Amino acid sequence: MRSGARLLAAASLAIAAVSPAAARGDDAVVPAEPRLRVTGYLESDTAFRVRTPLTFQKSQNRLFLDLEGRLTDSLRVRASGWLLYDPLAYLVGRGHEFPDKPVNRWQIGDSRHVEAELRELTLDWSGHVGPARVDVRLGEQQVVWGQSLGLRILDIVNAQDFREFILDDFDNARTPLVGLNVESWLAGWTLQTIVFPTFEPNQLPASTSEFALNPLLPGFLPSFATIFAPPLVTPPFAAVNQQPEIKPPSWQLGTVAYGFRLARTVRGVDLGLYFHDGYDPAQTWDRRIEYIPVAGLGTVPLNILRAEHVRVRTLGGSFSTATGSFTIWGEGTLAFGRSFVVDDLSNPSGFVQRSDLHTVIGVDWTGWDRLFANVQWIEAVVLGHEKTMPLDAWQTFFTLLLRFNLRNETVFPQLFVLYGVNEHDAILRPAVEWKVTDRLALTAGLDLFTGPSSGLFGQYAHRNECEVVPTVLPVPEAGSCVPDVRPGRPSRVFLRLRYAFDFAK
Amino acid sequence: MARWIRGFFAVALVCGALAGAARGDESAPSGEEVMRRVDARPRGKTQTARAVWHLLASDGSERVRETRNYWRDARGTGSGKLHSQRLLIFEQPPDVKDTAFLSWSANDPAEDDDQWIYLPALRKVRRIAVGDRGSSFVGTDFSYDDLADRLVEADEHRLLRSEERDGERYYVVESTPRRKPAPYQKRVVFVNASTWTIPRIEYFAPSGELEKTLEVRWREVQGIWTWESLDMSNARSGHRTRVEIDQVAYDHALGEDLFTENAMRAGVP
Repeated sequence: MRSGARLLAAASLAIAAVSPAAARGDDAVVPAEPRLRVTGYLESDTAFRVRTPLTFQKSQNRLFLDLEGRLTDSLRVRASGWLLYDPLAYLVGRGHEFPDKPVNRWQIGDSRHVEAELRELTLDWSGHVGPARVDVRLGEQQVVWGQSLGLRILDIVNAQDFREFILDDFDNARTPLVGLNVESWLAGWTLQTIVFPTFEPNQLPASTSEFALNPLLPGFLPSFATIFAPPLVTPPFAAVNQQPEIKPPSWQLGTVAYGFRLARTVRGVDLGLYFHDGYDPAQTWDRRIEYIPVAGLGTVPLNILRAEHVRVRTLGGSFSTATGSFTIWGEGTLAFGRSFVVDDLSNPSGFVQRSDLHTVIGVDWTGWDRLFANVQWIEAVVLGHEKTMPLDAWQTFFTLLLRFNLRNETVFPQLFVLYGVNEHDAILRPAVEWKVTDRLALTAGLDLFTGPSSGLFGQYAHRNECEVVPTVLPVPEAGSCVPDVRPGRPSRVFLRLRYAFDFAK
Repeated sequence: MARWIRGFFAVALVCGALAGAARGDESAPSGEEVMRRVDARPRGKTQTARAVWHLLASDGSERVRETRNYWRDARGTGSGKLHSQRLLIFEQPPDVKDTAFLSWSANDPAEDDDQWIYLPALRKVRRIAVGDRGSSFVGTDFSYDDLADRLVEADEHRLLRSEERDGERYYVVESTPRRKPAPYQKRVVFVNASTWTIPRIEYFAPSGELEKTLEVRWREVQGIWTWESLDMSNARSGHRTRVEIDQVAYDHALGEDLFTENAMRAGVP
């Protein structure tokens, strides 16, 4: 981050030096944006569990600031970030702390309840290079591709913070990256080029946190509880040594991620082609088995587990068109080299690399003035699937969004449902937003998980009586189990109050 | 004789009536001619302005939005299929800041317009469905359809009457959409016969009821008649939206590249 800021300062001087010649000059458009604009909001976001134990899940208070300064007609600098205060420990007295020190965040004053995070710091230049309009954004930023709701399909550039699973707004959950983003437009064609020399991994919830993932679920961790290989002692004496995550180093040539987007509207259809080559922010779980002598037990297998990242090349495409009251759109990715866990002890690393295909077809319906309705059909397919892969070859999801607008677009009841067909599990998110004034909004709602524990969403609807978890190893007694330390069942009711403000000059 | 005289007068009356009607046709243009004169009124090749939108509820409460507006006559440029392009970028209030609305009006009334909205909270540009155009534009009394430029050929026009008000002559034209379904059954348009501006439009819902009324105030800017305020009132809800514009400028160099998804995301330099 700090090196990103230095790069930005240097680039600022460089672009400022060349911008007068390339900028619009006399053609500067009026009315222009203000020279300085500060916008932001104060937000209080409180969630309370609806399943036992009935406790506060979070009580986050956030001050978000977005500063935008226009240095010249074509050059702008933008910085945004937030200050987060969570007094949950004072409310429930159970020593709640932010579970991890996340990327780009700073603990303030040794407090475990106050954090600051820089969300964006960019230098933006817009102008013309020859006949082409060019928009350059340099610095810490988010790049959003695609338009699927609730799940990210083409939105592959930035890593995601899963510490609140997928319930947090994607805009909050995306981890910004330092890099260069150039969009150019010529004769109806848009070409976007991105280069990111930095890398950030996905943030997973801690194993004891509210939204801890079940390590036994396919796709997350190897199913190491069933390891058996001579001359091993019968499990569960197998031990696990979880080593620190290996992240590709930023600012090295081999780490640089790059990508392109080519887009055009043809006969009322918006078309896009995408390419991205970079390290997958999702963790690859490399598992090695070693055998160690243990007094009284003989030789015990030691599973060395380490999160790594593999390089993935992704091709993508998208379309969008409108007819009648319907907007029909779709997007898809074909990724090469993605890693998948295998339940196969003969495999030395515990994972294989395969291609996978993700697609979404979405339909928006606006036939009634007071309702926006959206349905999505999502498919995730592993190409070259093997029987030893715990993950299904095909995974199907459907989503439904119904958003009403009442009282002249001041009251918005809505329902979002994300349903997994394979395991028949779901997230249901009913909510009501009330815009009390232009600046003050109040949102109340529920986040409910349902379905069997084997499902991606259903895992949060259950709390297992006993389970082997990676942090409680070696298991103390053969044939026994340990209580599930994950809080589990984080279905919740929430209340969010947001006051927006601004200043312009 | 008497019968003959009565017959003579009867014929004379009919002929007189026909002659009068003929004279009327000569002096009053047809509805389509009126609307073509309106359409031919100078508008400049481009227009930029700042607009303030006052959303007035029937209980007296008010909400305010502020936009930067960019419009471009696209006829004879690019692919030749566009009539005009329009970009609105929201400045106020802070919760909708940077929301952008882009519209490409087709040159052919048989073709659908293209409309998109950029939602900064999602950082996504979404295409708006054709059927969505009768719905409210961000809580105002204007629909997406009201914001798009309407081609003369898109409607059948019928001159209802001409009338004198405050020493000015007005034509009253009924415009009925040729393509169905449409957001309105018809619009009744009042046209100033000297300036060819439109001071009033009445919008009728598909049920035939009066739905909305638009009152427009005009002034000359750079020699071009320019609306300075729009006042749209909803007959059903009692809700009103008043729009005022300032910083109006014509014929600024607005290229085709300003009316793109890139500009919606990156803003207007």
